[in-house]
Amino acid sequence: MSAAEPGAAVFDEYGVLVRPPLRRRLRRLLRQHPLGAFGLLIVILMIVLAAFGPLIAGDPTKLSPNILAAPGGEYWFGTDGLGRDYFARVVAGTRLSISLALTAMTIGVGIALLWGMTSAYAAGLFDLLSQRVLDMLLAFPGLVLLLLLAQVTGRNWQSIALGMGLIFTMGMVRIVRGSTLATLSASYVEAARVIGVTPFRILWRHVLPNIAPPLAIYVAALLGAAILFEGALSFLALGVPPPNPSWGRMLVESRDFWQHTHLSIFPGVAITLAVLGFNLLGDSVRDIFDPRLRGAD
Amino acid sequence: MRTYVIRRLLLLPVTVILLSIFAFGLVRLVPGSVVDARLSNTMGASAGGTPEQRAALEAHFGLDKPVHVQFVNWVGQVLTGDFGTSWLTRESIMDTFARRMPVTAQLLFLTLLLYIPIGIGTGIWSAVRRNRPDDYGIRFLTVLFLAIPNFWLATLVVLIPLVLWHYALPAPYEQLWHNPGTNMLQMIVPAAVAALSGAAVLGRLARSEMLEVLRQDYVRTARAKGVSGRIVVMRHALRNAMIPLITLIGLVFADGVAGSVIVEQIFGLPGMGRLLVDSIFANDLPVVQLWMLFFGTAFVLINLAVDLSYAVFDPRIRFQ
Repeated sequence: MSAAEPGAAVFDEYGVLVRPPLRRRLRRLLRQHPLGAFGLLIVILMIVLAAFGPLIAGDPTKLSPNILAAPGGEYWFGTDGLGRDYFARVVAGTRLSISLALTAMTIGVGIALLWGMTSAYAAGLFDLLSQRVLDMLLAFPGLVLLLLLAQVTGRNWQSIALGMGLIFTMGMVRIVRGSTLATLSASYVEAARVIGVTPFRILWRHVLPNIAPPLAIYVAALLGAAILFEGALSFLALGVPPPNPSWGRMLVESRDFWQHTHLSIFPGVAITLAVLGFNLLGDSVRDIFDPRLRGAD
Repeated sequence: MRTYVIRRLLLLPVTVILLSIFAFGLVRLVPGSVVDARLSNTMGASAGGTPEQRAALEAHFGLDKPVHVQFVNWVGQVLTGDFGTSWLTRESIMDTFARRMPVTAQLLFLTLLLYIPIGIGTGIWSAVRRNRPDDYGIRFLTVLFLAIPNFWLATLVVLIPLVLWHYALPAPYEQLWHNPGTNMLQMIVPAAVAALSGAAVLGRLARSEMLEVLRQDYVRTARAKGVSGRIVVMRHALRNAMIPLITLIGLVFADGVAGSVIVEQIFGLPGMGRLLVDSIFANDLPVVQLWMLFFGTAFVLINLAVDLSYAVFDPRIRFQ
C-alpha cells in the first residue's frame, strides 16, 4: 500500500476506494489542468478585488488636481482626465463586471431550469411554442438583443443584470429541456413513476443531477461572454450609468485623451484578463465534465 | 427529405409571425412614446403639452386605437412596402435603410471574406499539426483573441498608428463608387478587426471537428493503405469536417452583424449597426422595430438555409 504510485487509486482492506486527501487531489488537478488552474486563480483574484477592491486600491471617485498623470510613483496606473486614481478605477471596474456576470448567470440558470423542465415535462403546445420562440430569439446576436432589452428595462444595474440573464436563459433552456427529455425516457424514471413518485421529486432527484454537467459546461463558457457583453454595452454608452466605474466606459472616455495611452491600455488589459480567466476555467470544466471532448482543444 | 423540407417551410411563417409580434411588442414596452418625444424639447427633457395636443398627436400616429389594431395596421403597412418614417429625422425608413444597407453589406462581405479562410484555415492547420509548436502557437493566439474584446482591438488599431506615426484613417466616409481607394481603406481595417475576433471562435470549432474526423476509422484505413498525408487530409477528412462547420454559417453571420454594431461605431461608418445604436439612443422606435424585423427575418432565413443544406449534405439528418 505504501508503495502505491502517486495518483493511483488506493483501496482499503474491504476493497473500497479511498478518496485521496484534498491536498493530493488539488495537486493532481493542478497537474492535469494547469491552464484551468491559472484561470481559476485569475477568477478568484477578480472576485477578491470585486469584493474588497476599494479597500485595497483606494477610492475610485476621489478627484485630485494631478490630472492625466503618467503611470508610476504614487499612481501605479496614472490618473484620468479628472485626476482620479486609474488603478483604483480599474480595480473598481472588477466589481461591476463580476457582479453583473454572476447575477446574470444566477438569473439565467434559475429561469432556464424552471422553463426547460416545465417545457419538457408538460410537452404539448407550450413546448412547441416555447421552442419556436427560442429558435427565433437564438437567431439574433446576443449583443443586439441585449441592446434592445436594456432599452425596455432601463439602463441601471438591476435591469442590465436581468436582461443579460434573459439572454443567457435562451441557450440554457435548450440544454435543460434536452437533458430532461433524455432523462425522463430512462427506465429508472419510468420505474419511479410507476411506484408513485411525484413529478417534483422526479425532477429533483433524477433529472436535476443529469442536467448539472452540461449546464455547468455552458455556464462556464458563458461567464467570459458576460464580461464582454458588459464591456460592449458600456462602450456603446448603453450600459450601467456613472459613477460606477466600468471598463467599457473607461475605454470610450480614453478616446478623448488618446495621447495618454495608459488610459486605453489598462481597462482593455483588465477585460482581456477577466475573459481569459473565465474562458480557461470554462475549458477545464468542460474537459472534466465531458470526457468525450477531452483534449479536443 | 421532402417531408423535412416541407415541415421546415411550414414552420417559417410561424417564426416570422412570432418575430413581428416580438418586434412590435418589445418596442411597445419601451417607456416613452412618440407623443412624449414630439412634445418635449430636442434634449428630451420635459414632456409637456396640453391634453388636446396629446390626443391629437395620438390620433395622428394611430396610438388611440387598441394594441391589436395597431399591430395589424403596422403589419399591413410593412407588407405593402410602407415602412413608415423615422420619428427622429422624419425621413422614410425605406430610404434610410437603402442608404445605409450597402455600407453594412460591404463591411459584412469583407469581414466574412477574411473571417472564414482565417478561421477554417488555422483550425485545420492546427488539427493536422496537433501538439507541434505551430499548433501551440495557433492555440495560444486563439485563446488570446477569444479574450480580447473587439471594441478594445478596434481602439488599439486606431490608437497605435495615431501615437506612433500620427496617422489616422481618412475621414469622413467615402462611398465605394465615389472613391474606391479611400473607401476600401476605410472598410478593410474595421472588417479585419471584426474578422479577427470572430475567426478565433470558428478556428477553435474547426480544429475540434477536424480532430474528431481524423480520429475516425476510415481515415486510419486510408493512411494504412498508403494514401499520402495531404490527400487524406484534403479528400477524406476535410470534406467530412466541413459538414458540421456549415451549421456555423448562421452563427458567423449573426456574429458579423453584432461586430458591425461595434465596429461601425468606432470607425464612424454610417451603416445599419450604427443606425441601431443611434435609434436606440434617440428612442426612435419605428426604426428599431423595422431593424429587428429586417435582420430577424434575415437571421431566420439563413438558419433555415443552413439547416436545409445540412440535410442535403448529411443524410442522417433527413430522417430524424
